[in-house]
Amino acid sequence: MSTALVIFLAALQGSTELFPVSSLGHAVVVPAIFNLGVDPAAPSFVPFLALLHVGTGVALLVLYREQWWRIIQGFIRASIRGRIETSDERLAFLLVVGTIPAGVIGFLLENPLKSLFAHPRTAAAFLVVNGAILLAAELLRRREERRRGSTERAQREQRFGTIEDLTYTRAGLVGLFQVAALLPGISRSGVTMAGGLVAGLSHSEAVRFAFLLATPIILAAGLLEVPQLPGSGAPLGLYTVGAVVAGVIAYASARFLVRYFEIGRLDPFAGYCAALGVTGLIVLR
Amino acid sequence: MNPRTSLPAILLALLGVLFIAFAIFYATTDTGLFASAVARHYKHATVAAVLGVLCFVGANFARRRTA
Repeated sequence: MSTALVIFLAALQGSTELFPVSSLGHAVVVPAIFNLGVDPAAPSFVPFLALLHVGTGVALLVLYREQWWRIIQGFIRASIRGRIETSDERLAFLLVVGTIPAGVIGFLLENPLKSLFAHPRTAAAFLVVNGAILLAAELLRRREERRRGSTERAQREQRFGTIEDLTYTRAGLVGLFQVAALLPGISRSGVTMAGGLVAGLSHSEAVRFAFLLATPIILAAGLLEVPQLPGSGAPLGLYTVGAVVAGVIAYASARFLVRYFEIGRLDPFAGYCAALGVTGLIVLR
Repeated sequence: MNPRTSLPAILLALLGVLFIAFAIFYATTDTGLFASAVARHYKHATVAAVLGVLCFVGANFARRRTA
């Protein structure tokens, strides 16, 4: 891949990883639509994407650095004590419960899932599915808002819960949603936000939980794949620059989304995913 | 049996030992067990180690405590 293409893919990944529009879907579908000469079946493609994910994961760590420090301390304290006493300790175990389904299933189905990366039409179809999931989550949320009788935006959001209100069962439910994101075209942040809304979180809390939940999986997936890069003959220096570009853009995207979801909804992203997916299905015949 | 120890705690601790044994096995032996090729599988070892630690944490939570 040329320098320009690496930077383009890094910018694409960084900007789409945290938006609920599937970065993997974009990384597979967009180069195919524009015939950019990217081979998703190449041995270095998945490790390259993994390196970009490390950049994104680091961006999330930086964004929530104080919270992560308290979560890690809380996890260690509660693990040694054998009992949860503070909200940080509880949050740590909510994240563990939410991470286990995607972590285990992603590991077990790694090879069949990787083979899907070579099929841009499949990714395009899953982009349409992703749009449908986001739309369905918002329709359910609107019905729930009507049931609770809230009308104004500020009031509306206050009637829904925070992460601290989540039960372990509901955190597991959101974690199960994250399993779907192992498919290229299904957005991790999108389905976990949708899961958070279904579990009764406000939009801003759903996005916070989605980002916290995404961090260990993104970092683990990235760090476990990166050792394959040296043997693949890939230009490590260039790919590292790509990871930095992805990280910087992901950080800006995350800050934007945190503000957007104070009042915004998933609808625009649902429409965008459906449009891109349908375009991909038409163009990639 | 220690009255502070419950059956789930014992089972989780045993599972933890099993996962740690798998982690050591994958990190030190060329194998094709649950893997696509015969090689040392450090990724398998890491995942097994993490699951092992989580089992030990779970066992610590499941211990029966006296008031």
